[in-house]
Amino acid sequence: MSAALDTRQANDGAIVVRGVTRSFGAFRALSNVSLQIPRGALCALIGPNGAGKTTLLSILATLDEEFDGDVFVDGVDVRAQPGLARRRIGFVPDHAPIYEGLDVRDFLTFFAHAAGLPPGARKKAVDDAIAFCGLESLAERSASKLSKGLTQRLCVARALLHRPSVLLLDEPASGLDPRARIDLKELLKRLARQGCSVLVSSHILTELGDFCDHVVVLEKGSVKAADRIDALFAEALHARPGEASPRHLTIEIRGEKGTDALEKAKAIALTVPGVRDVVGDGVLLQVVLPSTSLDSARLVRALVEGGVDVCSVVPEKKNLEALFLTVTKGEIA
Amino acid sequence: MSAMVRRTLSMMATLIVDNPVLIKDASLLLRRRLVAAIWLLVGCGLLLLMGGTYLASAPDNLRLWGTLHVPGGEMLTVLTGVLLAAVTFLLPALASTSLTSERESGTLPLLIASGLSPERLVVGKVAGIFTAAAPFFALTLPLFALCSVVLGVDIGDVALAGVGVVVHALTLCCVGVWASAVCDRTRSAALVAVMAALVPSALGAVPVFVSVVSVADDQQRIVVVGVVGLIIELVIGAAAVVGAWSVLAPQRAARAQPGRWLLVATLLGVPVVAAALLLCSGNDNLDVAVGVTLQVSALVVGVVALAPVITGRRLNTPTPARTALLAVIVGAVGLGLSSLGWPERMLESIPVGDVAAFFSVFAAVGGVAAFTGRWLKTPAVAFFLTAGVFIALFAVPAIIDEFVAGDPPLAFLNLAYVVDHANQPPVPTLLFYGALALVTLLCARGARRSA
Repeated sequence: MSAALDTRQANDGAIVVRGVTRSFGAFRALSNVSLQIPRGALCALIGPNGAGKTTLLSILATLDEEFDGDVFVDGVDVRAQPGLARRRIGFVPDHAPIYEGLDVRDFLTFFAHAAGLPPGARKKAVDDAIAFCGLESLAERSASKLSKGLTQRLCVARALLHRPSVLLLDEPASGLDPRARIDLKELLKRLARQGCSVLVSSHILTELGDFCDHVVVLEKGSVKAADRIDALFAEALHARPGEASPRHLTIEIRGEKGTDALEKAKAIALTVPGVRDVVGDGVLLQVVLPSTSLDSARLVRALVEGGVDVCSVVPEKKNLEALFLTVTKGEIA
Repeated sequence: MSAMVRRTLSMMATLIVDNPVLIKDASLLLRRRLVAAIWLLVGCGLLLLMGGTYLASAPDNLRLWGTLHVPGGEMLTVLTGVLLAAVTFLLPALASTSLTSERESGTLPLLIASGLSPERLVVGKVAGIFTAAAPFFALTLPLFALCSVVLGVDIGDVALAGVGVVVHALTLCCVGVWASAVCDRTRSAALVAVMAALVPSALGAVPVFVSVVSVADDQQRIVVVGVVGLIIELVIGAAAVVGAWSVLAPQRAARAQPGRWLLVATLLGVPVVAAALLLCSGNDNLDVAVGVTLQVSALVVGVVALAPVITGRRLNTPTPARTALLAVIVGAVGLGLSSLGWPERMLESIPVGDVAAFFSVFAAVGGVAAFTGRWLKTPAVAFFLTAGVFIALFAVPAIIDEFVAGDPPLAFLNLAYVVDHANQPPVPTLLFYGALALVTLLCARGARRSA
């Protein structure tokens, strides 16, 4: 492979990993991992415990040089030019380490200084990061006395000080309450809208599915899947060639449990063109349809015209957990 | 030329003056009440001691063996001695937390990922500790001035002693940061750092101690052998017991708290040492008896402590006990080997050249390991590094003394050497300390890669 091609490929994505293997003694944490995450993507890195997520993030964050293969972040070879790569990367580790005795502003100023920002730019960078993460009212408060959610936001602010083009987060939502998780999610979405590529690992798969557009599934040190979430859903749910992923609807009907209302509704649904599968459970009807909303409308109209009282129609969210189990064949370490 | 100077100055400014780690560490340390209290306590103790010394400055009160004749000189010797003792105990322990605390709290990866260069990180740590100690040194300035202005000590000697203390303190900061770079945990690092600072001091003091005993009168011998000898023997006896315990019951030794096992080891060591002293007490040649006891104890420690190193398998898990054990090993073996000729010929017959050659091999291995980061992940390598530092501290000054000054080796880390030998240029010794600080920094930089 020519050097020119290498460079072109390296520049293609925010993160390009090729044939990376990392061993700890006899244990192989990563085995020939290759993946590419496009610029501006909000990518979920999922996998069971021990799958190699933290190892991969450590390599991407230039904290681990003992690996085989090539890793480029924003076009920079992390092993050949770790200093340059660090200027492009913001890293938030799996727990939020804080120095005791420093307030929020001092903490950020220290890291702005450590990142090599000139004295004039430090204050602006710190102010911008504080404002972006909504920490204005806490700037003078001791960093070690913040709640876990606020500490996590402070760590994101720290990672954003030097305006990185790629943000790496290792289990950022673990231990956070629902409010803090929502705040963090909104923060990451805003970052992605501003063009920052984000790679976030987490065990809380349902939440990642809400806002990530790409996913990398790791299992036992190997990549099981790496693509757009839509594409993976389509593949996992056996979409027909050329079609988008099918839509799952949950329809609540009126009627007593055990009556023939459900059987009637199932029979009507199966007559609607395009309906692939119908499962009944109590007063709920699970229907698999082609992707278009026209099919949904046609189904509801057929049910109503057939005398079925439709109480609610809820499209099923893209369930990353289901996708993960499908991709990993249900094997969880 | 001027461009090169500008570049060098700019590099120095980036490394030292404009160093975020220095600013952060120094400000946090200076704000810590415990650190301030320690410095204040030691400083006040020093002031009291110096005041007392000044009030009782009749030459006869202080002159023990006729080596010091000038009251001012005595004052300067006491001042530098107490200062050295204080910084030797405090600075390595303080510096040993520098990188391990970052590692334990999880902030070390952040520092590395933030783009901070290894040089700035390590230099910032050393300079931060040193800056935190600056108020303490400032407290002693009036005392140095007292020696020169009031007591009439030559200003050159005073300046030399001051510079020596500062260089020595800086070296100890480097040793502490080095220990924190090679150890995973703070308490292991603290043990290694303190051992690295104290064991060579004790080793260096032994020849002086023996030489003092050999020229002292009977009354002085009783005092010196009874007090100093007992302390030295206790330390060696305790080390022997710890070594034996670690070999015989490694799991138990590993679980024990450092303070507790030191206490137990000392308590167990007392009867051994007392028995040895009792056996020697009837000997007319008390100095010979002391030398023999030292030699036997040291060899026992060396042999016992070397067993787990040779077998290797027990070093897989670094624990405070084993880390401390490793730190003791080289010192003990060195003591045993170097004391081979003491009983008969005392100081003159120490096989300095042989000892230096033997230890130089360890130093070379330790140096190679230090410069290749990937070797620094095992306790065995930490052992070689520890050995390297010990050897550098122990053997090199002896070589310098022998070949440059033409004198028998004296206690290194003992600036009485500098003060008492003002007629000889102490530059080689100071240069050695500077070089040692540099090598230690490089070791720490290499070790940091394994963080």
